[in-house]
Amino acid sequence: MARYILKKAGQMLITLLLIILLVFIMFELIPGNPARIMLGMNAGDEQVAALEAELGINDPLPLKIKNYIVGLVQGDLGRSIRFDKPVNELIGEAAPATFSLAIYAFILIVVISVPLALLAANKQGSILDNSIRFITEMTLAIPPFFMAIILMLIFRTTQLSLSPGQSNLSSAGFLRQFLMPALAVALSRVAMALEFLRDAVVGQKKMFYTKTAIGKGASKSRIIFFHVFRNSLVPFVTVLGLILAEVFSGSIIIEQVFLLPGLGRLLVTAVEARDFPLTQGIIILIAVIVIIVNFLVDFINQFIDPRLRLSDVKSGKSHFGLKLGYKLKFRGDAER
Amino acid sequence: MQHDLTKSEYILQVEHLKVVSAQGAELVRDVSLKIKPGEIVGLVGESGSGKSISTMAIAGILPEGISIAQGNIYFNGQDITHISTRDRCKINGNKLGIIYQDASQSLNPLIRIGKQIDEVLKIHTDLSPQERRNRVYGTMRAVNLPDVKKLAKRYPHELSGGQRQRVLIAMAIINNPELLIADEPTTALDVSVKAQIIELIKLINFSRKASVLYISHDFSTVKELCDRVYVLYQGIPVEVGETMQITEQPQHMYTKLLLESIPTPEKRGRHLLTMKARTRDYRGPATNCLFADRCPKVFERCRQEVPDMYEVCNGHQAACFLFDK
Repeated sequence: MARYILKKAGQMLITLLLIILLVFIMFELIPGNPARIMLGMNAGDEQVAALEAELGINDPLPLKIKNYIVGLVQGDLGRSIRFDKPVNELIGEAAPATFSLAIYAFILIVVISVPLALLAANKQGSILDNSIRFITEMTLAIPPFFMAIILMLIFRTTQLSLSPGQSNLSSAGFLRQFLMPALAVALSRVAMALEFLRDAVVGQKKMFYTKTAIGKGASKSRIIFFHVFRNSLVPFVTVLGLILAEVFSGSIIIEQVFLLPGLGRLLVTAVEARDFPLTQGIIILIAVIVIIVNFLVDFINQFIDPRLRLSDVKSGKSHFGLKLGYKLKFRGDAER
Repeated sequence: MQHDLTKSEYILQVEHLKVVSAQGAELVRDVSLKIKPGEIVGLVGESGSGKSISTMAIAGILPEGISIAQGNIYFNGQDITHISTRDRCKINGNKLGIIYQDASQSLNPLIRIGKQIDEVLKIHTDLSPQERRNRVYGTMRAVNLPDVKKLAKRYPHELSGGQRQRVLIAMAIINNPELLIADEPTTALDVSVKAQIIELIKLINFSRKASVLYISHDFSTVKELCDRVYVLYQGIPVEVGETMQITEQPQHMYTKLLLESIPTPEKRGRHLLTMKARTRDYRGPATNCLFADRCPKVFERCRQEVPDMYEVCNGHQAACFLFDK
């Protein structure tokens, strides 16, 4: 297991480095000079040049990358050009809103899709099944920002909720205020999660072990929950991982619509100002989240399905370790 | 519900069972069979003869779209033909144990062996976890599984084929069922393991007093195990009798040909007698003897009427006009 985690960690590190490299190259390519933008159109060329030198804008690319990675290792993401504050601090201020929104939306997705999928799969091909799928597929066709507008109209006419945006909320107040944006993010993904789980359950129901369960005298609900649901989880968890990563990036647009002070709005501001360190910091944060989510998906799936653990044992490397162990033991005996 | 006494004398009694698919194909045409307490009864036939579908009907596990159209099934005198799911759950795994043919697919791959066996007890008994564990270990030992405490923590893919089959048998017998249905339990196994499983079923029949309905296309295991045999052809029993009667003096041409086609050492160097291949799978209602097309002794009447079961001698019956006296 330790070997597995080490291997995964190495993969994650390489992915992260590649992303850093990509963002640097991207910023080399897009036009616009942050020093010029900060100082305004009326600034003199000397002023701009002085600021450029101060910010290290004209340093060669490898040096920039090196400096950045050295800073990253020390936990320093640099200093924002636009806000003249440490990037860490800015992200720290904006992250809670985005994180709460994403996690709220994710929980909504799970809570809505699981029971509906089980209902649909249980009465496969029935009117219930078809109408559940039809309605959720319609929400799939509506983009989140448009969904946000529709929701706003609905909530306004029914006077259900307030517009979000204030801080210092109690948990109940938070749940109410973030409901609308979270729903906007969640609804279009519900269909995806639902479809995956439903198909997995329908497929598992046909497996032979369900017949064994009937032979044991297991009730219908027992078969669904004790056998079929568990066995459908691997594809479902995989797709939930993808959805969770998507929900984080998807929140960016919704934050704009609902004027939430989250990472999404910060990112847009940063890109507009060519605020390179801030942009880089946010992108790396999102990348790290995605990478960690993927790792968790692998890990959870191995926990659910013991057969997936085999790949680790059979990789050959553990055999090598075994052989090495024997050798050392043998040598020890010989020396004695 | 009222039953005459004779019905409850049998553990299982099937009367004129007819099973059809949603498209109207007759998968089982007219099967009647009886199993006495303590008896091991074999159900033999080629693939498509309806033997597996019949057992599925008895166990209430018919696939979607396939249903019982006619006939009755009595288990211990109780009519279980169209029993509710709730009542079915009380019988299956408790008084009726079922062993399936493909052990590798019949176990849930994600659940530990011990827990899967334990599930049967959980469903049907009120035993404490400790009592249940002891009984799981005991039953695992009874089916000759080695090192039960370790094995109980394993997953199905970590076991051999023979061990998986034993696990299935353990699940089927843990509640001491009155009837054990074994649907080709040896098909996927090596010859040596096959013999062990047959011995195990015999032992269970003897020590736990369970009647057994043994389904197979393999006459060699049937000879070894069964007291009586039903030979099934296209959804109809064509010959019934004690195992000795059927295997030593088969009367119906189909049984004769079936036995002839088994390779044995005495037939070495000779061509095996093979049947004419089936030209088509006729699934409509029977209007004549269904074996007429392949029968070497076919005569006029075979193509006009459906034969009844005719007594040959002493409970030995064959569905052939040659015995209509």
